[in-house]
Amino acid sequence: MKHYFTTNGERNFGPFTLEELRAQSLCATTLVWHCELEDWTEAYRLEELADLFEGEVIPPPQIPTTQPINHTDEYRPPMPSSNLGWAICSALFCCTPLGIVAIFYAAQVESVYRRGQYAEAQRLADKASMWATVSAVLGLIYIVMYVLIMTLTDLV
Amino acid sequence: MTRKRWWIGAGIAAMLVVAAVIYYVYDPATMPFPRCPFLMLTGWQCPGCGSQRAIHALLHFDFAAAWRYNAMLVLSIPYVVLLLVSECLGRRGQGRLYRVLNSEVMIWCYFALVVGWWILRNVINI
Repeated sequence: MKHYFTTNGERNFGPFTLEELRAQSLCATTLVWHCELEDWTEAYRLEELADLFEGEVIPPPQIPTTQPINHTDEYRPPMPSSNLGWAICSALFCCTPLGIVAIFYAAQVESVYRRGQYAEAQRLADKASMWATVSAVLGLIYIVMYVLIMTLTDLV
Repeated sequence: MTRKRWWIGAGIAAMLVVAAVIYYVYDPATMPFPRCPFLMLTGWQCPGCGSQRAIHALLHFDFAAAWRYNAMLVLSIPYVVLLLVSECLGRRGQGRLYRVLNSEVMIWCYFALVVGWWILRNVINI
């Protein structure tokens, strides 16, 4: 024989037998517990009570009060790639010193990540990638322009 | 996503091969290869100046000449290769090699080296 308990969030009520519980005017969302349940459970979720709420509109659960998000333990995204290789290549091969800026940003990714500022780490990694790309694109444009102008002046 | 990565990798590899062939056949020291815009604008060498000639020399296994043209480039190539290897082995901060190469200390040292090289080569003209 199962013993049921209910709670209003502050006080627990019970124990009740199933018949006693069903006789009460339960709400669909009244929290119920018995020894086989891990946690307080809304009444409508329990098989033996579900028929009481047939056809009823189940109100949505309350929005949980916002808590400061604690990133340190639960949520740890992978460390973003520092894009260092890309930064070095753009610094040395692309004819513009902008790649140095990319290295500057790449250098900070790890320590910021270790401090738990994951979004900031991602932002720095993206910045490193962005500067390396800018450097490479400018270098490429320059090379193409250079070759074009050289061949044109040769023709003239 | 992995497919996209594969294509990007293949594209970069193809471009590297083409570039290697060009730099093997033509000597930037004699051919009208693009000059460094930073050098032309400011009169100062940038950290990458000489890298085209250095690559040509490296492709011909002339390490001494490559070192003269751009010592920083010769020093950096093993680092870049290791970075690439570590990226393939285990990115996302799991691989030990990746962690060491991308550690803050390493990158700041490299940063200081490049900036130091930039200044030094303009002071003593190497």
